[in-house]
Amino acid sequence: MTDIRLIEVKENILADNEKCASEVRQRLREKDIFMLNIMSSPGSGKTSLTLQTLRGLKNDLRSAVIEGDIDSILDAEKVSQEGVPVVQLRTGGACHIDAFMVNLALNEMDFDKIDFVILENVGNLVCPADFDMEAMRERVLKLNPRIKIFEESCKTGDGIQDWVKWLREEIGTVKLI
Amino acid sequence: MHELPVIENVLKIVIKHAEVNKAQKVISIGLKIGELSDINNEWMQRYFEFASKDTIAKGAVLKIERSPVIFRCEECKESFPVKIREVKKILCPVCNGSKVTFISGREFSINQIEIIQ
Repeated sequence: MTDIRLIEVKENILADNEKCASEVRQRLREKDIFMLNIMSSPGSGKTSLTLQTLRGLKNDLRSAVIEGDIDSILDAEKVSQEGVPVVQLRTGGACHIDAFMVNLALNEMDFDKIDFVILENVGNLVCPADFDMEAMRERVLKLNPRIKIFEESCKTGDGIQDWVKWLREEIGTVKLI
Repeated sequence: MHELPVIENVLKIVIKHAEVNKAQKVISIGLKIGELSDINNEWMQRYFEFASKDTIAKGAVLKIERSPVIFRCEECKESFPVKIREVKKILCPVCNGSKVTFISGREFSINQIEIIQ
């Protein structure tokens, strides 16, 4: 006789990733390292912003970069020309970097020689495809009215100074610089 | 593409519970996903069929319950649901306040599974 039963599971699907993410945060906190996660569509300027940010902070901070890419190492080569340590993560087709990958990348870094890590995430065509600035601003502020939004151009340099200044202050909240 | 890694986790958890309960087959999986998630129900089912084809969860139906996005008003402390994709501005339905804090709507859990023993 077949017996159909309903089993209570109540498990968080992303629990493994969240556990690993808090491990990553803990590792960084222990060494007062600030991590910045840059996410946006392919070609929108993640690498350009990474380079500008590294240049803006190079006199005050020891930076490092985790480069996420589906398959290439082009961005990692560009970033390493800035003279900072770079760890390349190739996701092999997966669209995002998860906490496990970040943890692996951190294993490759010398924590005593770093104040600040930029994680350049994988460009994804699906997630943030809307470039209507006003619509973006409206939606983001709806979800978090206190969020700070910077408008900047890596081509003209507009706004980069404000961004770097703000970032330096934020990093200063976890590390005396 | 987001659905595939998620589905792999779902399958792992489902098989673990199915085995503990000596299931011969999994008939359905009850998922609770917050409205704020962009996960697509149809792709979830398709990926699940692909990922589960050699397991006891083969053929199981995903029953996805969407939990609402909840905000709390900072003025009067009332919590209220918001149709986040429809409204232009989030206002408290009680006091009309606009200082609000996001409370929930990003859930991602397996509630229950239906199995044949």
